[in-house]
Amino acid sequence: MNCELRKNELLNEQYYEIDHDSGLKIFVMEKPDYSGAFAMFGTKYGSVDTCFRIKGEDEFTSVPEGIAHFLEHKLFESEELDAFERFSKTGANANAFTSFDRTCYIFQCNGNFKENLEILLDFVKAPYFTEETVQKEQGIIGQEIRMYQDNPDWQVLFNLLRGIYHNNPVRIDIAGTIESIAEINAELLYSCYNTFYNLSNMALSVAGNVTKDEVIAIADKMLKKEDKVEFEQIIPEEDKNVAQSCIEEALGVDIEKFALGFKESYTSPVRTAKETLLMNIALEIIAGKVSPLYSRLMEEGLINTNFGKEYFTGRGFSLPIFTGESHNPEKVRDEIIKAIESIKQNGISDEDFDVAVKKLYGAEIYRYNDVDDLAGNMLDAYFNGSDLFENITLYKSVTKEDVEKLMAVSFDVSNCCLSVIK
Amino acid sequence: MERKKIAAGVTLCTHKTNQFKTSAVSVNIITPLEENVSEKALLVHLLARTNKDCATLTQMNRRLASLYGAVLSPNAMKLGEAQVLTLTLVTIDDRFALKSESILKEGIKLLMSCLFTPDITPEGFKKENLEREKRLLSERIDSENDDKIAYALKRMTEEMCCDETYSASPLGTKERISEVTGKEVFEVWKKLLLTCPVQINVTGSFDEDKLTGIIRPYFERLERKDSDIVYPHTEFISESYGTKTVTEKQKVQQGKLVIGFRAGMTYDMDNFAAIKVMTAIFGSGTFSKLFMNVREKMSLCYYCSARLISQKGIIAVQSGVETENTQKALEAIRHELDEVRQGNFTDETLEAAKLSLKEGYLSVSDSVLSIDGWFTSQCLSGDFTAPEQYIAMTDTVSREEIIVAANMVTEDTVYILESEKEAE
Repeated sequence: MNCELRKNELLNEQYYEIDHDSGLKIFVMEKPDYSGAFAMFGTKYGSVDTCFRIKGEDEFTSVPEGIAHFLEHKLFESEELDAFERFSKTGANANAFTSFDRTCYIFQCNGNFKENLEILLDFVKAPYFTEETVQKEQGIIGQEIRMYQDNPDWQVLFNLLRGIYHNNPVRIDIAGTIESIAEINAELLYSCYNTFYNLSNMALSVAGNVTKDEVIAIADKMLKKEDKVEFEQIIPEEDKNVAQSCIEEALGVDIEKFALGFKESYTSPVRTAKETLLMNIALEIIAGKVSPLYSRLMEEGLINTNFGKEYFTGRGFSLPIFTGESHNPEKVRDEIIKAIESIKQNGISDEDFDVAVKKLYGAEIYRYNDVDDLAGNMLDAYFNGSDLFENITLYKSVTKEDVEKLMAVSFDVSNCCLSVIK
Repeated sequence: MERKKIAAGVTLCTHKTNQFKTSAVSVNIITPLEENVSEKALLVHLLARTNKDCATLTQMNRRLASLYGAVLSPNAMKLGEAQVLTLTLVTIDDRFALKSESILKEGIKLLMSCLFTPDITPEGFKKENLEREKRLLSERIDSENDDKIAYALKRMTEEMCCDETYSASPLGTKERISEVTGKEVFEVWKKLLLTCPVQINVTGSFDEDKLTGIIRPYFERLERKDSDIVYPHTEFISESYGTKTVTEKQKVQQGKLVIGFRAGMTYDMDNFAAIKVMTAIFGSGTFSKLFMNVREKMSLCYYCSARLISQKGIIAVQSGVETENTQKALEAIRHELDEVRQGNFTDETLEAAKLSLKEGYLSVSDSVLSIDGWFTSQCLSGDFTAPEQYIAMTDTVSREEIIVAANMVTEDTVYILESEKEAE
């Protein structure tokens, strides 16, 4: 077992990165002045992983849309007590979530940490699916899907993804559809589980009132050494251009929602911490609250306080997006494009760059407050091939020329899509 | 966690700690929900957006950005029959300033200038600012209606409390918002500063004397008198006299079912601990009757949960169901409440409910905003109760007390949002 201590002096923080003998990567940040602790056990497996085979197998398996999320629900069940019942005896607050490229099982507790960690490692590593329990879940998840169909913020985003991408599986709804989840059976669930829930594809991240020795002792007790499972995936070819430049849906909302995305073309699947930071600086300069664009849109009544921008990125996809509510989304799009073109032409002023960097530096500090953020951020950084402290050190080295270069390639104003919910 | 009086009707709640890398300061103005609700909702947003020194949005946003992206956010929320107007400022700690700036001190000064020196003329708030905030507030009301989960709860509350002050939205109404003048908001602002209780919460690392030294003079300059300060009163109706059912149709994929119960309370802490544990057994958490049966066994819904709104003595059950299953879900929810009334719950469930509530209380001290929220949740009462005391109260609740509490609960209003598509 290898255990390394990583420190950052500016933040006065440190954490342990452990290569456990079982094959699992473990992160622990000890925070003795907190009352509680938070643990996250995740796998690099999400809704985009739809076609794969274990190395050496003849055939690729194509699985129904939404199966990663379905699997997340089903793992909570076991032959005896289900995981929620076990956590209810310890008082921990347990949950799980599935995103495009990962599935994570979490708990937060203010006591019984060791027992809780045992339950977490046990239930995630002990799948139990039968045709009967699979059927029961179809009703529950069916209602979860319906709930999201009525959520305009969710729909505007997924419509945007379908407008931007032709084939990229990020365009698939995370929970799938009522029809696709009807095709899920126990055998398919085991096939996904055996491919992606191998410890070498997973990580455990813990922050709070715990010690690394406690965590390691539980991992020693609960986890057996696993040989690495190597798998291959089919990643569909993606055209350089957007699938549609406009996409609209009527939900009968009182105020229209919009999402505007600019298609990027990268050959590597994951954006580096530096690329992400540069994009966030660019977004801040284009549309942050101190930008001329923001105040113009606000004063002209085109956006409201729900306006935002985000670098929407994960394994296999990345696009800068602008979201909000407006009575005239087309005009907002045109104004954003005008602002981008003007910055590309005139360059970025030193002052605008400094203001954006200072604000984002402040935002970075906020990420070190809560144990759930800390555990989540350690895991995210690892899954993205970075480490937790990389961001805070990057602020010193980025330049406005870097941002200008990025803007020249990442904002092709003729290659964007506007999604609107009416 | 401490609470002390610093001026007439002004309390300061502090939690001093180096645990966090940020601080939060919130100013909470406690007003009745019945008068000038739209004016006050506009006011708190106007105060947060500009002031005399930062007369435009951009100037204000530049000022906040210079404080390392400090966030200043306005809110108007309902707490019982009070409308609490809140300005919250969140900043990073001075120790992370790159040029040794005093971020928190500057932030608090900014917050005070927003509250005390708005950008006004003798005619009141300026037209361009007022018009902008009217639009933003109206759009926020629209936006909340587009969230069907929130909309259904709001509609149930409106129907259940149609003869009570509590039916009002803390954001006001679009009709009234459109009429309000800058002069009217100005008058409301002056009155609030003189007569409303104010609670200021500060969480993070700070020097308490310096803090009080900055804040107190602002209030001492006003002619506030203890005798003028009035806390809003909330009317409690402890029992329902029959169920009112309201059905609406909309073009939605999923129907909503919201049930409002009277919890049998005559004030906010009336039998609080027993009712809270009872509500948890009934429907708050994965161990609860609603989760285990209506969701897990019957597969009727993705969410079905109960929560106690103690400041008004109401329990609300919220669920999203297929319209064709509405009656089945309604009966199942009623059945589960009956089970609790008859004492048909295991000791394991009882323990799980207590553990889960205690877990929540213990977690309060681990986040800046949850500490701030804890302070705010108690701003209506004259004294302060720490989370530890709630833990002690929870521990003493017996099975018998839970059964008694459940038998005090009466069903008042059933609100159903039907999916039009399926009804056709």
